[in-house]
Amino acid sequence: MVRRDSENVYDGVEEEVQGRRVIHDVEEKEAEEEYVRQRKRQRAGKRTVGVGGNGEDETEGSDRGRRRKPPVMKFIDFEAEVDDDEEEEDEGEDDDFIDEGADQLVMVNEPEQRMGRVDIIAEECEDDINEMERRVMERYTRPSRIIMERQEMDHAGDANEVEQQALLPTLSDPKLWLVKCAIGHEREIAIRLMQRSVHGEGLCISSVIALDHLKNYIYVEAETIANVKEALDGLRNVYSSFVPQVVPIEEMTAVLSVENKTMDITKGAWVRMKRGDYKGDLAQVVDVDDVKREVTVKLIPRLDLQHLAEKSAVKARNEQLKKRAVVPPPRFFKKEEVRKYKNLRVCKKWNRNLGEGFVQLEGPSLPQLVFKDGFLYKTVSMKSINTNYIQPSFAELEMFNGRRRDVCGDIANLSTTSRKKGHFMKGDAVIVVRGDLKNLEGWVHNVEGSTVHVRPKTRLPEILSFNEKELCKFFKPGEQIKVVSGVLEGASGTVVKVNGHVLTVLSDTNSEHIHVFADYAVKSTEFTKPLAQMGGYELYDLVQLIDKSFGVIIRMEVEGLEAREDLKFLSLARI
Amino acid sequence: MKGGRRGGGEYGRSNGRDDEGMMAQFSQIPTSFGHELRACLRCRLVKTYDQFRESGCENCPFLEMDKEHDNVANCTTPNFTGIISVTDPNKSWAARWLRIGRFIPGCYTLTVSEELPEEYQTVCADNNVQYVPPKRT
Repeated sequence: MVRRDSENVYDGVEEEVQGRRVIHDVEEKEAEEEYVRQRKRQRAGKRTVGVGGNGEDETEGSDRGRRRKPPVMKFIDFEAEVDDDEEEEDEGEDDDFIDEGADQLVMVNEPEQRMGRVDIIAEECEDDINEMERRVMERYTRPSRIIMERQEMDHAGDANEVEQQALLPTLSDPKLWLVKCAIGHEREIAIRLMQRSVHGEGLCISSVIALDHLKNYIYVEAETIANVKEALDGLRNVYSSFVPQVVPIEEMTAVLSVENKTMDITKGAWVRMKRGDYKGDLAQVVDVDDVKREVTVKLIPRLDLQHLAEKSAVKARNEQLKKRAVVPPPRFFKKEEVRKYKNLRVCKKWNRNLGEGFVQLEGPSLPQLVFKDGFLYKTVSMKSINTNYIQPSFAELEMFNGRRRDVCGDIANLSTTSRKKGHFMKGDAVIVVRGDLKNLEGWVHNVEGSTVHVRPKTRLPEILSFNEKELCKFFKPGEQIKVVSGVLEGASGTVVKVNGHVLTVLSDTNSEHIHVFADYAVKSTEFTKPLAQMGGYELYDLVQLIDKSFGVIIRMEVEGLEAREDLKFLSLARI
Repeated sequence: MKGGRRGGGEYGRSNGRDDEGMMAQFSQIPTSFGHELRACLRCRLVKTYDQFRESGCENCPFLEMDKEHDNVANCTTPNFTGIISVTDPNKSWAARWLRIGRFIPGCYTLTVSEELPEEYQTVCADNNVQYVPPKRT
């Protein structure tokens, strides 16, 4: 582990080398110290110039006493020497050393350069060391530069994940103590402790951590439990009965890792509602407010205007209205419908956050209901929406985009991200939809977990592997397919059109066009014969329907029969 | 109102800048815990909007938040996760891990939600100050 002292010094010195690479390597730092020791010896009069390689000790014996070695000697390793213990002195020397070297050299880290540097050092050994040190000290007492240098060092040195490893907690670091406090007051306590420490109460704690997602607890960083107790003494909202628990070293970094799940809710994302009338409904995020932990989503309204009108009337009479028995079906909002109800009014509002005009439904004692283009815009807390594994069905998307003819754009967007992938089977024709090999066609050779091995159609010889997400099943018009997942499972038909991820299929059973995600279909030779009879009824039977009307069975499917009612108008004459 | 050290200053409004030009003792401590709190996008210091406007960001004086009020809105964000009060940055392991161990004592946040805008990143580069954008996992 790198010593903190020397780290400081190096950090300070690096300011001379601004913009150049920082010395990371521990080995290199030790090498630097070696050179410093050499230089000191040079100054002391022993002019031994240079040794080859990294971290070699200065030479003694036959070389000592020789004023100048021939330059070629640099490249020859002599016997390794034993180190003297001059660690403390090196700290101050380092500044001078790099100080001079930096003026003449471009790169700090190259070993070859180092040999050149040694030459230069030898030449300048007549300088007054004390003078040098004084200058350096002066430089470091300028306050604003200190801040900047240090900050720069901090970031420059640790921008890497590998370097982050060097910051792992050690036994000499203060420990983290888990402290229980009142829910909702975590931030407040952290800030109050800061204030206490600032007002000079001599607190021996190094930091206080209040995490958003961890309710009821805070972490206090201190050496001993007594320090923690002293710091929290007398603070309200802290449970003094709870003995602070130390966090094991292995778990310390986990405390400070932020789970990014909640930050990932972006505008335009699809979510599902968890509660209320809209439970399970698909919604699209239009605005995210991280501070209040709320999102504004766009839904297809489920309004019962009758009920709302009654509610406001009833409230005026101080009565309670019965709850609705059934959740209203989703339907787009129309201003005209509101006019029928005297209690309800609509007015235009401008929403600052979203920068758009909205229609607001108002009435006495109504919650805020804001609409645009027929959609309801609802602001809910992040907790009441579900963001993971949302698979909007085609039907839902169509509903949503009914106003815009842009269904396929959304689907293409969705299909490779949140949609569950159908299984790829050996022999499936696939096409690459993401990455550099986009639009490459091929056949599935085999599947291993989420990696699919594909033999490309073109002349590429090998079998390529792809992630499931990068591929999509590929069908050509005219192929027979069968749907294996989704709402249309079991249907089969012939592909008539391929539109990105969506296949338009002519169904065998009812000769209609159905839309299906390519991933939900497999190539098959099965042909679903339309059922000729089911449950005692045959095709073309005249039947009486529930509401006493007549109809003829024209079609039978696995799930039910379809009878045409309006035939009776035509055929009454025939009957 | 001087000080902020022993016994001095108003509660929570102290700014301990020493007259000799030494490094400031600590940053202003937020006076409220609600929606006015903002985090500086560069150093992640947390203060209220008004505090930033009044005395800028102590770690990033080059962002000049006290001079230009727009800079406060552009360089700070109310979207941040968690608060860490660093009372002793030299000693604290947590501050070192979060790479705020070189900043002055104060309240910081663990992560911010957005990056510093382009033009301010160049200001940082001009002043020879490193800017590390927040990690995107």
